[in-house]
Amino acid sequence: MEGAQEELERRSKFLKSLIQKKKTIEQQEQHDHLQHNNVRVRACDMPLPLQNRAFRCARDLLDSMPSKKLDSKRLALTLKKEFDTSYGPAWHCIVGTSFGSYVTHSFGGFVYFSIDKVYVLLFKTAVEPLDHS
Amino acid sequence: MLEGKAMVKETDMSPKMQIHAMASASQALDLYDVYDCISIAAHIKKEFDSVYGNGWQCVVGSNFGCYFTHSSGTFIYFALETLNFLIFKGTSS
Repeated sequence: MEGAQEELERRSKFLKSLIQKKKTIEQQEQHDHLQHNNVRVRACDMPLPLQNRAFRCARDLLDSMPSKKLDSKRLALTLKKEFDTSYGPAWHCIVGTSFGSYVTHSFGGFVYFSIDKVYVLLFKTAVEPLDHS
Repeated sequence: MLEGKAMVKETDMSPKMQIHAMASASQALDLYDVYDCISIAAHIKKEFDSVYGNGWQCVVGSNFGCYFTHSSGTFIYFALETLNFLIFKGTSS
C-alpha cells in the first residue's frame, strides 16, 4: 500500500512538472511570436483570420529578403496576389514608409498595419461583372 | 498654382482626365501642407468620385510601392514637387 502511494505521488509530480513545462514553453512562444512579428494594427475592418494571414505573409516575406532593404513593390504584390487567390478579387495593397491615402473599400476588407518600420495598407473593392454589351 | 510641373510616370487615362488629375493635385497642394498626404489624397479622391462616379482610390506620398487592380482607362501615376500620386478606380460602386 505504501509502495502504491509512493508511485502515485511520483506520477503526480511528474505530470505537474510536465504541465508546468508546457505552460512555460507556450508563454515563451507567445512572447517570441509577438516580439518577432513586431506588428501593430493601426486601423482595421477585417476578420481576425484574414488579419493574421496578412501579418504572417508580410513577416515571412520580410524575413526572406536577404539584403534587409525594403522592397515595397514585392511585398505589395505578394500580399495582393495571396488575397486575390484566397479571398477573391479585387485586393489592392500599398506598402511604404511615407504615404497617405483615401480609399473606398468593401465591408470587412480593410487593414492598415505597421510591421518593423514599414506601413501596409491592404483593402478590397467589389468587382463588377464585365460588360459584354 | 504651384510653379512645379507634374511628370506623368505611367497612365492609361485619357489626356483630358490626366490633366484633371494633375490640376486636382496641384489645387490640393495649394490647400494643404505637403506633409498632409491624407488630406491631399482625400481632396483628389472626392473630386474624382463626384465628377466620374464613385469608387476612386488615391495614394499620395514620398515612399511607397503598391499593387492593385483598376478599371480600364482609370489609372495614373505621376510626380509633382516632392510627392508621388497614384489615382485609380477600383471597380467598386
